Amino acid sequence: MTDPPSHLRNVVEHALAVSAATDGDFDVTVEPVLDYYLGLPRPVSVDPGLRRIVAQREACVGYKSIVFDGTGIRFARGGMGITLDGIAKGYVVDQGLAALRRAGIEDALIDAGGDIRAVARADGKRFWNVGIVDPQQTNRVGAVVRVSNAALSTSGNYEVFFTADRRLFHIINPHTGYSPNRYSSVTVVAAEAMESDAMGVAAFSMDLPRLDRVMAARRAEWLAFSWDGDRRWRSRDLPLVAGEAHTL
Amino acid sequence: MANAPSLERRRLLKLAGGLLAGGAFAAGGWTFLNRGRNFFQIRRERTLMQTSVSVNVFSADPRHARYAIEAAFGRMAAVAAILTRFDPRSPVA
Repeated sequence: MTDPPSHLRNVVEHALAVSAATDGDFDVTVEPVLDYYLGLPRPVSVDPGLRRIVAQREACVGYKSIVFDGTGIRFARGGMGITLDGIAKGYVVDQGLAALRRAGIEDALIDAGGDIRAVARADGKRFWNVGIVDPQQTNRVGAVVRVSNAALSTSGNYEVFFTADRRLFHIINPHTGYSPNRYSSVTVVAAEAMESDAMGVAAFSMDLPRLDRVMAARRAEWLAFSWDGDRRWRSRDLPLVAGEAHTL
Repeated sequence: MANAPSLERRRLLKLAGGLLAGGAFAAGGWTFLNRGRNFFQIRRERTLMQTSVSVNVFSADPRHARYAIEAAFGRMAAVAAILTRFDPRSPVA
């Protein structure tokens, strides 16, 4: 694609930065695999036929094969595609909040299916308390995080899943072609929703020590629920005001 | 590691009630803003990128808040039209 729109350039540029920071745990080129799953009748059966096709499509995944320069965006290999599902919503939310600020609004929150950007005037008295859905009982709140001017993204295996046991859901590990099964929900707090959105997706593929290390390097806070939901962990400086979680 | 049960409804309501009267329920959870007097909460919800998007504004001027919310939705719709793969006219699709 030559001369892409500036918004598309912004998102792809940030996506590549997150891919590099997470060693490819976030990768927009996972599209051929994700698209295959989305096209299957549900519930999906993970059988040898599916594994063969996933392996073929997985060979087309790799953010380093995106050529992004002054002339445009293109792929270095055939069969590739990109999905901005893990980052575009956050960017859209950021743009919406920027429009509110330009209109003079000082206290606002935008929520796009778990990608949240909040702002409150900096008088130290105003803040937003954001409830995090309990992934085991999605009609309940599992924790509450307090923010005044930040973005917060939550992803969970309860949102869109392909297999009945939820082991294959809408987040795909770009290195394997299958969903990571460490966590049932991850929340990331960052300065912008584009960042929290993408980092939240990447977090699912990281073990806890790496998750803590990578998030700290990106100046992001996090909260993770174990796959069975019985255990919770968080970064040390997460502004948690209700609910319990262990620090590492 | 100890178990960490969901918040009891009573405790959640106490937490929310201690902060403010208004609140919003969204896919990401419950959101509450600690606010002062003479503030109105304006909330609008629309579908963008196959997702329900809500905009919550606290303002002393509800008419201006509604104008700002329209501007925000306009901006988000324009950007979403470029980035969505669900619209065949999008460069991403």
